[in-house]
Order: sequence, then C-alpha cells, then structure tokens
Amino acid sequence: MILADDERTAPPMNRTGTGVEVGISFPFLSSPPRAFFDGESPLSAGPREPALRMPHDALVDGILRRLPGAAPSRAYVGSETCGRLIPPAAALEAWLLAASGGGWEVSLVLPPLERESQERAMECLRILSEAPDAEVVVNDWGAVHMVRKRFPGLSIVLGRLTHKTLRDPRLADHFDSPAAPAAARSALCRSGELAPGYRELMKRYGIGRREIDPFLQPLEDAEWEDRTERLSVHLPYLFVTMGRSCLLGAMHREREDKFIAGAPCRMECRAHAIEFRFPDPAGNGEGKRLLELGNALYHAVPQPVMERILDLIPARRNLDRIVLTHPMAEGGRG
Amino acid sequence: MKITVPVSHPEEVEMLVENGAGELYCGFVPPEWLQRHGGAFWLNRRGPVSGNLNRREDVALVAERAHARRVPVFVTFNAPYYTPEQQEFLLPVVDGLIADASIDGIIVSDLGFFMAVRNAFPDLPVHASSVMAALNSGMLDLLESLGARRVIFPRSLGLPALAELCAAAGGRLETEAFVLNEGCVFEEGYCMTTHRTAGALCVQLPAVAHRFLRLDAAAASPRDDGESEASRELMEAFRDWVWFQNGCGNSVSAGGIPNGPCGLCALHDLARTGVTSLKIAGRSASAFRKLVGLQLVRAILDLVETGADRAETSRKAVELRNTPEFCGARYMCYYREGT
Repeated sequence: MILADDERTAPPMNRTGTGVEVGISFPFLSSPPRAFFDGESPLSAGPREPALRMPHDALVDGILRRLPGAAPSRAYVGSETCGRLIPPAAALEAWLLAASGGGWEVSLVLPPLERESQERAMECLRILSEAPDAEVVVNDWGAVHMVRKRFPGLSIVLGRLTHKTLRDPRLADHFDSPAAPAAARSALCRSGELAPGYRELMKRYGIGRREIDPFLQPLEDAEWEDRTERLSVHLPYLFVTMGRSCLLGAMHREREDKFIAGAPCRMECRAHAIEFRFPDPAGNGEGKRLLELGNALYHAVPQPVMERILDLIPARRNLDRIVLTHPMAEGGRG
Repeated sequence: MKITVPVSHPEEVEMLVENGAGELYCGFVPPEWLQRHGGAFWLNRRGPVSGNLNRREDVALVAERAHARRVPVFVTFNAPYYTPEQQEFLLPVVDGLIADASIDGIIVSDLGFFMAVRNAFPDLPVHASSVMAALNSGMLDLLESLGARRVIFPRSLGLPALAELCAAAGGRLETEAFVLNEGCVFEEGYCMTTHRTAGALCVQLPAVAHRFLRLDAAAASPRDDGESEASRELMEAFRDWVWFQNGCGNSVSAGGIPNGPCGLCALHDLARTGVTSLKIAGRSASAFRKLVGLQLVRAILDLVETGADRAETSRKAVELRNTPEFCGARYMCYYREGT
C-alpha cells in the first residue's frame, strides 16, 4: 500500500485507497535506518551522489505526481546478488523490530544461494518465519525449493533475477524495432513465464508474487496481464548482470587473488560504486551509463521509461507494488 | 570421468571419439528458426550458424557415427528462456531429433521448457544446462524431482562447492563441470545481456570510460591518493582478468592449444569431487582447436587416472600448455582456489 505521511497510524488496510504499496530496498545497509522508520526522512530523501540522486529524484517526482502524499511502508533487507550482504540474525531481528515500530513490513531479500551464504540465509529464514506478515524475495529456484520445503508457511516472492528476459541497455531500444521479424520482436519483449511448464512450477511452489524490472523495451501486454500472481516493479534501476567474482570486492586483494568467486572481501560495496559510460552514437552525448552496485551492473532507466512504467500502474490490476532501490551506505545517505 | 566434447560437423565425430571423447554435444538450429527470428534471438548459446548444425540429417549422421563407437550425443536447447510460442515450435523439433536422429538427450536452461520436455518426452534424458545456475543443493533436489538426468554446474563454483554438490547429487543426478575453454566474467545464468550484434558487454567493460562513486557520507569529499591508486590497480587487474577470461583475446599458443580458461591443474582434485563428466566448451571452434583441446584434457586425465598426485598433475598441465606466463598469472584458472 502506498501510505500518505499523515496516515501512518491507520490500520494497514485503511491507509490508502490506491491499492499500491511502496517499498524501499536497502541492499548495502547492515542496520536499520531509523530516520526512515521514524518518519523523519521522507521518501524524497535521496542519495548525495549526483549520479544516484538524479534518477532517485525523477522517480520520487513521478510517484508523488501520481500518488500525492505517498510514503514507503515496506523495507527490503539484504541484497539480491550477494550472499555476504545477507544480514546476520541479530541484524535481521533489529530490522524487524525497527520496521514494526514504524508500521513498516519487511521483505528479506536473498541472492542466488551458494555454499558460503546458505547457512546464514537459513538462520534468517527461521527468524523471518516467526514474524507476522514477513516475506522472502528469492532469486534462484533452488532456494525456492529449499524455502518451501523447510518453511512451508513463509510467503515467497520470486525475485527479478529469475525473470529471464533480455535487458541489455546497449540494444534494448531496438528490441521492438518494426524492422525485426515478428517472432524475434515478440521474444525480446516477453519471457517464457506464461508457458504451461512455468505456470505449473509457479503453482507447485505457491508463488503469489513476482518482481519485474523496469524494462527498456515495452513488454507485451500478456507479460503483465496474463498472470495469476501479483507484480512488484523495481525502479529506477534495471538489473543487467551479476558476477560471483566481484569487481569491487577485489579492490583490496592481492593481484593474483582478485576475482575469485565467493572470495572474502571488505564489503567495499558499502562505500563505493563504479559508473561505466558506454558510447551511444545515436544518443545525446551522455552515453549509456551502467552502474556497478555491489557485484552487479544496473542501468538507471531514462525518465520516459520510468514514466511509461508508472503510467501502467492504474491499468494493470495485478501491478500493486513499487520497489525503490536506495543505494544508501553506512554512515549516511548514499 | 567422461570428457564431454563439442561437435559441429559430422566429419569431426571419428576424430574426436578416437582421441578420447566420451560424450558429444552439439547445437541444432533448423532453417525455420532462422526464418522466424533471423539472428535476433539465438536458439542456443551460439549464433545460429557458427557452431551449430542446420540440418536434421547432419545431427542424425553425428549420432549414427557416435553411436557406432558407443558414444552418446546430446543437443543443446539452452537459450536462457523460450516464449510459449517458441516452446510450441521447439517441441516438434525435439520430437524429430528423437525419432530421426536417435539423440541421447538434450541440454536445457529454461525451467518451464524443461517441464514441457519432461511432460512430452518422459523417456528422454534432460540435462540442466550451466545457464540454469545450479548453485545449491536445493536446485539438485528440485531437478531430481522434475526428472533431470544430469546437472551441468556453472563455471563460478569452486572445488569445495563442487565436492559438496557432487556428494549431494550422488546416485541421483549425473554431474558435469567445466574443464577447458570459454570463461564468463559474469554469472552466465544471471546475465541478461546478449553477445549478438553488440558483442560481449563484459569484454567491452574495461575499455569503457568509468569513474568511482562514493556511497557513504564522504560522497562530497575528494578521493585520497591511496584510494585512487587502489582503484587504478583494480581496473588494470580487471582489464587483464577479462582478457584471460576471453580466451586471452581468443588466441592459441604456438602449439595450437587454445589459450584461456582451464581447469587442468585442478584435475587431480576435480576428480575427487566425484564429478562424472568434464566439459570442454567451444562448439564454434575449428576442428583442429577442438582436437588439440581434447588431446590436452585426455593427457592430463590419463595421468590422474594412473595415479599422479596433485603436484605432478599441475606440473604436467603447465608443461603441456607451454604458456607458463599465462598459467603463472593465474587468471586463466577455473579452480584458482584449489591450485
């Protein structure tokens, strides 16, 4: 639900008439940002770094124009791409406590799970399974299987990394080109999730919600509409790719030990990001920017794409949550 | 352990099997797929022509020649996803390959398509492609429950993880791990970019203009010299690592051995993980390059199977490759933590 600032004390179901919820994802924070939960930091409190501030401000402006007084009511805790950012048990308990004190709900976000992070994830799930209305965002099907088996009562949201559709910012502008063969054009503007086999899997694991990216190419109507599950859309960052060999995490390792998948790091991602600027001869000279956040590359979608996606919300009955990524780091706003 | 080798022409079969291939895999792109999609959407992880067979008769010939030598043939259907219409198109293609080419199984990435294939052809062995990114035991349990025959592990898994997962798979699923050629800078199963038209994003990344940003409270402050130096060293190392992952610029050694990602030094330990097949990547490589790569893997595997220890295995691998400067840089190693 999207909450007006003055409606915080209202019961959850009566806080809004819009039926749209706003969540904020804090992938790099280890402890809860109390200013957010206490209502001191409004939705518009964005990152300091201009490269991050601009897409944040454009998004908040777009949301507030459509939904005046909107305020977040759900915190996403953990990273969708790195197991080292799964909170320790005590930290998750602190998040749950702080969130509930502010009237927020919590979604634990899990990356594709590998051996180094599995144990910590399971400990978090045990805690989460005892919290009312909590949910887990899962980004690999193996983890879906594990969660459903060990915590059958926990709500599973299928994370956006499992939504297999091309999202290459270098090319996506051309994916719906009229010059492309119809079958290819269609295939580039949708996924395989409406096929019977995938539907069977969704039913088997009781998936009631799926996350979706702010695609640069216009997804076909069926991709939004022909689903039984509800949809959360991420903004302003489009997920592009990730690696278990982390570029930022290699910063302080000896040269020959850099880029080993799953190797220890100093969590450099909590202080640094890298902006890459790809040449875009047909563009405005700014290039196409990719942002290395943690061990993944993202693309802040241009404002027209953001507006197009926000415009979908009233018409798509099952699209009822916006997830705003806030690359906020320890020690202050990002 | 069997060596799983790419094949892209019927004429390659005898050469590869005689030199130690225990299994073959190939791609098949029928002309109708090309008519529908042009080059815009690849049926598998290779471009529609290079590295793929385009006639069902050729797949049948590959299978006939391999079967005559008791070697199975698997066909890749491992695009990251297929739309419902594409799946409807592909199921009869698979049916035709079973009926007319007697293939021994297929390799699939899309879980929904995996379900469709299992429903349509319950007796056909289906392998979970590395693109499915089986990183944990939950995925093995899921795949077993869906009737998978084999799991091909992603490149990013190290030896301890492989050992754990092979133990978890034991008796339930066959297992396959990469041993030679073709790295991936990112996690293949979670990379939403495409190599077609624009080339590999990862290979371009080190040459693209970049700047470091601060996320913490020091955002407005200038970087100190130490940090700048660390950043510069990092990006130089990244450039080199990407080059190694990209087959050392897609080069070969003076002896014709493909440079680039390699797990040969670790074969002694890899064998002890219990993995059942070793994958050589490179369907689009020349027949000569395929042969040399296979001979290299065969030689080291023979050594391991006759009792060579870790040090001897590693020494021989480096000696045979004969590019000590590349091996010494350690950025070519699949299993760097174990060597």
